[in-house]
Amino acid sequence: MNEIIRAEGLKKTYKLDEVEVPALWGVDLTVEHGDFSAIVGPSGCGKSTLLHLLGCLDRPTEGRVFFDGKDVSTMGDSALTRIRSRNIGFIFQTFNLMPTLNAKENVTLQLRLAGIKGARAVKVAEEALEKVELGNRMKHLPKQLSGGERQRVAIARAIAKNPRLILADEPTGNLDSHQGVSIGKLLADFNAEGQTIIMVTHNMEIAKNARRIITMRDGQITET
Amino acid sequence: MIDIAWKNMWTRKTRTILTILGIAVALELVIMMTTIVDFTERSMQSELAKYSGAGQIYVRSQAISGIAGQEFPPVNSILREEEGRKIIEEVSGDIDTALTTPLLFYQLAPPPYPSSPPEALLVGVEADKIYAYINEESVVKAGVIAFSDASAREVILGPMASRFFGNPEVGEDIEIVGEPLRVVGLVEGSELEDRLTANVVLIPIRTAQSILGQSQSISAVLLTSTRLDTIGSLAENIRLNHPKVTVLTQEDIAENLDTILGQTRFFFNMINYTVYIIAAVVILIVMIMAVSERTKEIGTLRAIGASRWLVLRTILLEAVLLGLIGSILSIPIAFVIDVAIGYGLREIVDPWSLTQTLITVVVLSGLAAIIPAYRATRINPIEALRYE
Repeated sequence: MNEIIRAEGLKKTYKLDEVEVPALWGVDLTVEHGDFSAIVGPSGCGKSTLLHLLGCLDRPTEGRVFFDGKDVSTMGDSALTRIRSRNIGFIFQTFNLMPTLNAKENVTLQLRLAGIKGARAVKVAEEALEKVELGNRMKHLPKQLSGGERQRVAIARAIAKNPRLILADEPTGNLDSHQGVSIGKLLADFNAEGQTIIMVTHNMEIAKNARRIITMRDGQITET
Repeated sequence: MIDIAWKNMWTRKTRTILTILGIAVALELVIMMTTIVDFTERSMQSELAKYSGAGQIYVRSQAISGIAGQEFPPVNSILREEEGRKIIEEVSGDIDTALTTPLLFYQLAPPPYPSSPPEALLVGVEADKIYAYINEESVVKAGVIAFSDASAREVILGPMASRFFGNPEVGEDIEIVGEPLRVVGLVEGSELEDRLTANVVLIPIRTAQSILGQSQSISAVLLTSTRLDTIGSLAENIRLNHPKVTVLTQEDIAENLDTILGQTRFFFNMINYTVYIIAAVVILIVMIMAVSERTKEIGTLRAIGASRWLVLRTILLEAVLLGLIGSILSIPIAFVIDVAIGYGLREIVDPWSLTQTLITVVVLSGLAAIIPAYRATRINPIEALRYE
């Protein structure tokens, strides 16, 4: 079975004060090993909400999420944390690097959370940074790097532990078009090496790097 | 996670330095207070040891209140000299007259801290009975064993009193209550250990009465019994014959010193507890700010797989590190201040009590950070990822 993640009838409703605001109306989705899926759609259509549910950061109001065949929608916080630390790599729009740690330390931290410790973690982190062409920027703090370089560190952090799945939430949203294209290509290269990726984006140029484009509107998938 | 905690502190240098300094100063205060209590206790114990077997009885005016009755030496007591001499005469058969004298006390400089003896205390004794008040073990420089006459303008200074008067040499004149007196002796001893003799400004009682304008009055009578086993009955007889006076035996003095010590300890402990609370509140505020500032970082940590327990540990560790560094830094600060004020407290700092204080602050730092650390664990990673 090649399936990595499967969503069945996913619904998510947020409660704002006393008002219930539906974000997902019932989403069914299966992502298989080696996929590179881009989720596109207008703002507020539920793209990020879906990504958070697939990334075990949140639980659905209704429906189920299966990760590697296991239902994660009812798991406790510790179990979800363990899945995130070992099996899912995250890439965020605002990079979300630890400002006090340099590039190598940021990657090493993720590896330590995934259970890879000591010299091995350092070696793997260095290899990951080499892969994203930041071999000469390892000791730099995030504030000493450009936006594109920061996102490359975030990508190195995500891929270093060799996760089952990478989730990228608007990875080029804070970059200029040139850097955006470069990051999109980098993700496509990793996918070509066998890495499964789900990416949320507004940018159709970036989405074209994916093998599959999933369009969402009003909390539902309209096209896949 | 100590590296993350350390880097968080290192990156926010100003806040870290100010917090550490705050803790260091607070703890330095605790060390000073604890040391003062320790040395007060030691000096009192030392004083009590000297009285042991000395067979001394103090007769003073009746205490108006309980607190005044505990006062020792009885600086605020006033007796008619006539009554004092009558008491000495009545018990003359049972006392060593060479070590018996009326006393006149006058505070020349206030106590350096509450419940302590005055920094300089004028003590008038009969001219040939200086060793009734100064313990014989104390050595008087220049070999003086008595003042030259009953009204001699002469003075013997204890070590603390000597410092108060600018460390005069034997033969120099000093001014006391506007009158010049010649220094004829200096009591050797420790300023810290010899509680009753360190501050003494010993002069003939006639001279004291003259310069203080109290020709008919004294503060107390110091009697030294020839037999230790009859002190109780001797004191009882004086009480029966003179119901308006208070008679203090060694036991009473010991009890009074103990009460004073208890009050001193209570006073300083209250300061210490307050300082501990301030240190804990400083840590609490700093860590609440730290968690609030780092909402996005903590949320990211949670998102990429840090457990709640790990977040809790990191925050607690940072607080404990702040407390630990502040504590360690407080020791040299305390010593520098000590050298500056010249009390020599560092010589009597008890390593065990110092260790206890350091441990208390470190533990308090951890405890103070529990609430902010718990709040950090409740940060929702999704909310934090949106946080700018």
